[in-house]
Amino acid sequence: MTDRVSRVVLTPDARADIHAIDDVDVRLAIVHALIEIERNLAFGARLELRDYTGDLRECRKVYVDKPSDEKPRYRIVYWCSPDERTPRRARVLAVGLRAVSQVYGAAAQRYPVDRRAAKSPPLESASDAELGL
Amino acid sequence: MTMDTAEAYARAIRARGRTGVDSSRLRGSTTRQAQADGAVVVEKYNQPVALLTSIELFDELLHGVEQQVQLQRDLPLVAALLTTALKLGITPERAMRALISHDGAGSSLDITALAEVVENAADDLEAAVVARDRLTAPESADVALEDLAGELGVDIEAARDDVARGRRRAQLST
Repeated sequence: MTDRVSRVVLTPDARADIHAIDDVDVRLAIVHALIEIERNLAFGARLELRDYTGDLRECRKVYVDKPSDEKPRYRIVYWCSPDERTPRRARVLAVGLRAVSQVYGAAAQRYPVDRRAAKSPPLESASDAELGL
Repeated sequence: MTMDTAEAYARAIRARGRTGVDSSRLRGSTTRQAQADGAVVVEKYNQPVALLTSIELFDELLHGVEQQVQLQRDLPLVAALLTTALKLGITPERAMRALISHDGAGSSLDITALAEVVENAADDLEAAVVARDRLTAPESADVALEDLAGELGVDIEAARDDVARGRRRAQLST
């Protein structure tokens, strides 16, 4: 195995996440996203540091989908190891649909409408438990 | 409120403060006066009964009213989103930066931007939960990207070449 390949590895759960996706084009898009991460380990945005995220500053995320005009529906979460300052490897932890990625329209009034259309209640009506707080 | 709308209000108010034109004396010159001044108050028995406006002024006034109606409609949603934002640990400053949109004409509410910040925070919350759970998996069971690509039937070298040459077949955002 080359060093180049070892720059991106996946946990068994992340691997299973990808195999569970039926759409071949989405799978290919994910592979291309992982190659981007391989080329630049800091490609993804860091998870924002808040009380509930705790010490997950080395975690980054990338949103990905097959080419389209819509917002990417899938989220890759990876961990830069051994640390954020001198990352040598990305360990992919999860690949799946965004928790709240329902497309909201450019017009403000479309925001709750789109969430309802996607059978998702508006976030602001979610309870603390539903928000995971 | 845009500068045009503010000016429209001001011109209408100024017109109301002036002596109006009696309805019995309405002439073509009154229309020209309305076009020039923006608005002319029409009086009957010394009481203001109507406002003759230029179409531009009327459009701006109408636009202003529409903005007010939209604002009143949006406020409950804004309040709920701000509450959720605070629950999710978004600072008030960050929420307000997203919510208040500035441009040359003034400020307006950008609910979609605030909703996006809130949704990203909620997404980070779930990502953090998943990450924390899966970080404990032993690294010895990890698989390399090259192996995964093989399982998916993707030629990893060809895919790397495509990405390097800008032929990425993925929509990405961070």
